[in-house]
Amino acid sequence: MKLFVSDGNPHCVKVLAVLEFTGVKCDVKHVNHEERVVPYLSRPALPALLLPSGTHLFSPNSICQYLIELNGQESSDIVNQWLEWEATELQPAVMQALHMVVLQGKGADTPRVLRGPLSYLDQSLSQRTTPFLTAEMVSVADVVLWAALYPILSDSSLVSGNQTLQLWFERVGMLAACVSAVQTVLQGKGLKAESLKTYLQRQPTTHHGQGQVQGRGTQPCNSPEGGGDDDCVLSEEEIQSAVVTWGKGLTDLPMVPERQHPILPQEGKRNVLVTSALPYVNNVPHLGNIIGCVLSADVFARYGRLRGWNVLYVCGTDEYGTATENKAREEGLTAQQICDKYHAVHASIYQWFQVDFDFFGRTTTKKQTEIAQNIFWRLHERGFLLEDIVEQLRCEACQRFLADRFVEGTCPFCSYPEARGDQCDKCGKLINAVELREPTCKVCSQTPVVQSSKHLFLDLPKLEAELEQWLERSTGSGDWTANAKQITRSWVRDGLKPRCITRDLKWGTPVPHPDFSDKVFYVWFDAPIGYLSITANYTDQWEKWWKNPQQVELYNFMAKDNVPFHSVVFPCSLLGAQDNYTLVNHLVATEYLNYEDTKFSKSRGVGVFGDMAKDTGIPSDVWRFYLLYLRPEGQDSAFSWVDMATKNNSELLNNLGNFINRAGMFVSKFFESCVPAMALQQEDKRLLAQVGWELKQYINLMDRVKIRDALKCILNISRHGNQYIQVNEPWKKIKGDETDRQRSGTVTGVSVNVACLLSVMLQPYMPTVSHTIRQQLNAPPSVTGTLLQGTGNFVCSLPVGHHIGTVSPLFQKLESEQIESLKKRFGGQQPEEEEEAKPKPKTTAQPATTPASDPAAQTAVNGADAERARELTLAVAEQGEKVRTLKGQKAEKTVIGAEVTKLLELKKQLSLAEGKDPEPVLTKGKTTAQPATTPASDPAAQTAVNGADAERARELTLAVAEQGEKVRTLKGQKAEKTVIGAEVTKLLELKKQLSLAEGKDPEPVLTKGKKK
Amino acid sequence: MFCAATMFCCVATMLCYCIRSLFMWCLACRDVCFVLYLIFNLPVPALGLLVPVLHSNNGPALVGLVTIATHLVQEAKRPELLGGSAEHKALVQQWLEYRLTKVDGCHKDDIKTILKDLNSYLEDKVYLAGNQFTLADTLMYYGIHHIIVDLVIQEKEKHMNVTRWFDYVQHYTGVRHHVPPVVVLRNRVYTSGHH
Repeated sequence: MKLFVSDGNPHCVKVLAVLEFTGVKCDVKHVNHEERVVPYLSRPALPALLLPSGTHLFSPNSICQYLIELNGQESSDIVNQWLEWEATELQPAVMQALHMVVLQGKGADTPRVLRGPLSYLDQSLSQRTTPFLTAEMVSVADVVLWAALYPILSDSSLVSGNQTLQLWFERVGMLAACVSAVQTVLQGKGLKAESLKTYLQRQPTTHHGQGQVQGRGTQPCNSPEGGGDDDCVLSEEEIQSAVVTWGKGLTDLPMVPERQHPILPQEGKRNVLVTSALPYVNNVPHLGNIIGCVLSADVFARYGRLRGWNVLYVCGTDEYGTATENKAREEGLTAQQICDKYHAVHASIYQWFQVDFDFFGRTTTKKQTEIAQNIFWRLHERGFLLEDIVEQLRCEACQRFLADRFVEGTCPFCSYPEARGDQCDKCGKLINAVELREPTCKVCSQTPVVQSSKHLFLDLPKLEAELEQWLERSTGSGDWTANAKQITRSWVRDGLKPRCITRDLKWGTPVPHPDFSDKVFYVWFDAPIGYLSITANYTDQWEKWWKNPQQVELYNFMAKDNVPFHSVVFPCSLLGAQDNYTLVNHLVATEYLNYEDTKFSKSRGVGVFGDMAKDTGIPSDVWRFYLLYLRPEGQDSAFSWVDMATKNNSELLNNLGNFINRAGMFVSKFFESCVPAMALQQEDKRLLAQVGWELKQYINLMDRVKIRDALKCILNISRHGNQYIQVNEPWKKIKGDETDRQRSGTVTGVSVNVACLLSVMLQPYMPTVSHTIRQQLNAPPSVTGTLLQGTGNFVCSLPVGHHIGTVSPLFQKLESEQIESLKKRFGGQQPEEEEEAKPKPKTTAQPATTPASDPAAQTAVNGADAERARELTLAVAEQGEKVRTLKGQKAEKTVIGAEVTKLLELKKQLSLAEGKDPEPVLTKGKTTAQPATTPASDPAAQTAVNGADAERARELTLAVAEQGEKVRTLKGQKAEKTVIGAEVTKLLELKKQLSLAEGKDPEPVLTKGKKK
Repeated sequence: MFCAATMFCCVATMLCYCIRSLFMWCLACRDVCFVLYLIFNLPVPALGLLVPVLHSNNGPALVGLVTIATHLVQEAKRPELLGGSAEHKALVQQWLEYRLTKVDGCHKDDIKTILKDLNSYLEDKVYLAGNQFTLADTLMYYGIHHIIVDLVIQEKEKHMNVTRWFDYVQHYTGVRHHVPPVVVLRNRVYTSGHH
């Protein structure tokens, strides 16, 4: 059993006094106020008692009762009654009084809030004949009440009258247990204890009122979740500190210096060396390769630079090996020519994707030979290499030994027929090529023969102990992804075996040992050394990075199939070489990215390859965004064209782009491009705190390389921003009186500053867009170097009077026709079939379930329809947003028209799904209000919705969704028909208003719906 | 500050009790009555304002929902409803207090925290005090009912453990009474949190 207490907390006086009073044995641990001891509570709660069963008690009174009970005393009704009174009546009053007296310095005499409870207690005591509250003996009730009142009553200036109470207080206070508890927690100082003040400052201001039991709140908790998990509960303090940060200028913050090559580790800086797995040169990388290593590493490296770390990001092409030799044979070139050709292809693809390497090198260099041979000799000298005879597959037809990946056969473990010579794609086990059943040469399809030759092996078992020690340290302190840890663990657990490091090939780093002069190093030994040699080609002082584990943190990015080579085999080479090499601290591995639920396949022409991405006409930033949005973090994910369009249109266009554009437009349209004066109100401060919180999350996540999760924080901020603009309506207020105009200015000023912050947070993900935003806002260059330092600084970086540039839309809509054609072009017939299959059952099922003419159908909505209605409600809201965005962007009338038609169709379906015929009410609506606002005969009226109406429509859409939910809930609860009927009428009325606000006459479409 | 409708209750004999007023005013008093129903299987009167008071033949009046409920349970010789071991008793008291101090009169901003905390607490428990149904479950159920009723399906799914617990309790014999049942779906509708 363990009791956690904190200094200055009067509740801890209670439990410590009772603990000593009962003499129960229990460890007492002093912790900070902020410490979250109780795992299931989201706010810190102290004192807390860890029970033998592992559960925590967090209620001080229950802890006291428990201790008493352990001591063998049953608690009586009267004790319970006092404890209940203490918790519900006394405690709120005491907290309020302490707040006033200690923090606000008010109250020369008894604070008013306490008068009632104190005189009640005084009366109760004087009516008793016993010296204590419940009996002749002191009870737990006495101790608890005494401790609760101690800070107040120990100050004689605050007590007046209540004689009996004072006598009782002194009597209880004489107990040794009480004296020592007060000494421990409040240093015997009562109200003047500094620790009490600290404690009170940390207490969130309660929403409870004035120390009386309040009537129940009947407020429902159905605030919209806004897409993300909005779990941040903002305390008053957080809001205050966000305001303080906001008040700082850019100049108060440290600046990140410009990058200067060569980048070398610096004393006193965080030196971060980032590598991404070296892409193999013989092929064009596909999207999965790109997101798995180079792009992820790029985002992290860019982020590190913004944080002010000293980052070096190196990568290059892996060029040796049989695959290259074969490719050369295929294309009729030399191996070197092939490498030159494809190295350029890779470099240009990564350039198009804006991957900002500090150096992009290659493995076929002199440095590679030097460093690889040096490591080889050191391993050899230290006895970590073994010689052995190897049986290898040799294809007589091709006249050569077959590299592992040029043999295919049946997996000896799982009988998968297309296992490769080195690994089985199905069960993932590593295979020795000669163990394959029915091997065939992949080039000529002949059956190879087994031949033996002498080879060198790295003695992994000999290095195992050292490896395990290092692994424990590195995985314990670094950010290894779960899959990396797990794959490594299973490798080590299965036991390490010597691994062959030489090959009977020509195209490779030559083995310097005279006995093996006709051999080269096996690529897995050779390739990771590429990281070192590429750095050596970047700077002669490469050893400052690679032989400097004290100063350098190494991040390796890769897909999960590469993990064992980076976590086991390569570290063993470096450990065995004993040359103080820098070993990986953080191993970041992604899962696989699939293509429309199948694998990328060059041979079948399935998937998008790096060089084709730019031919799609979709900007590189959007590609980056989408790939990072579905970065296979934690589990496999799949690229889908339709999803890409959806994410582009909903997240980039409607959320992020819409917010940034609106913020900028308001400044340029309403305030002549000058950031207006801002007078922050509570609501603005809340937004600052909310944004600050998301920023902090973003930094937390990015620091731990949760790249995809951090992107959600950016989108959350713009969602908050959109909501903020929506609620405050600066475009309306600008037309109002002076106060309204000022309000409009504040909202605009805050919004444009949020946009500026977003531009910096976006930089690692979408460098061009980020730059464009900063250009449009004319943001000072120092923002990129300052806002992400420390725990994040959401400062007012565009101060009052700042002149912004020309604002224009950032993103373009991806049209479905465009997406369809791309989908066809990149070879997936399967996805289309799926698309076809999906909507069918819905449309056919519809009329059968809800006969529109039957009035009873209104209440006969079954569960499935309710869900369908919900989906449709969302779809309607989304489509409505789309239409508004288009209008906002002054898109072509025909385009808008098409979208409006879709919207109407959706609404019709929604009405049907909700099981009611909207026609009667709407007809009535038409005869009265309709003609005045929108002449139904004019088709142009459909598009002639002005801004104010669009806002109104938006509100109404939400209201309709909410009301719809209410009706469904009532129906689910089988409420009275009359009650439901009333709510349905409200819903219909809202829908009518919505139609009106959207400036169109719903009647024609709906009549058509009815006739059917 | 005490409930206007005072209860005269002859629990000593456990045969009869009478309630002066039948106005549905005070939810705490309503809950006392529900407890009466639960343990004595007696029909429920209803009344109230603020804090309930219980006058009985053998001893002074008792004040406060938890105190009265605890007393009634003991009188009814149903000690298991207060928890078997010392540890369980403490947990029962803790959650009874939580209902009074945190759930009752909670501000709407607190609702999220309450749901979140209860949800993670109930992660590995059937009832509030472990695997045994207790008084804490009943009173928490009545106290939290108005919150749960207003949750949309998505929120219910987000707080899966609370929903599960709530469903158990509302189906526990003698608990729900005329409080409207809350529909709980067995299958998840929203599979992934985002979009």
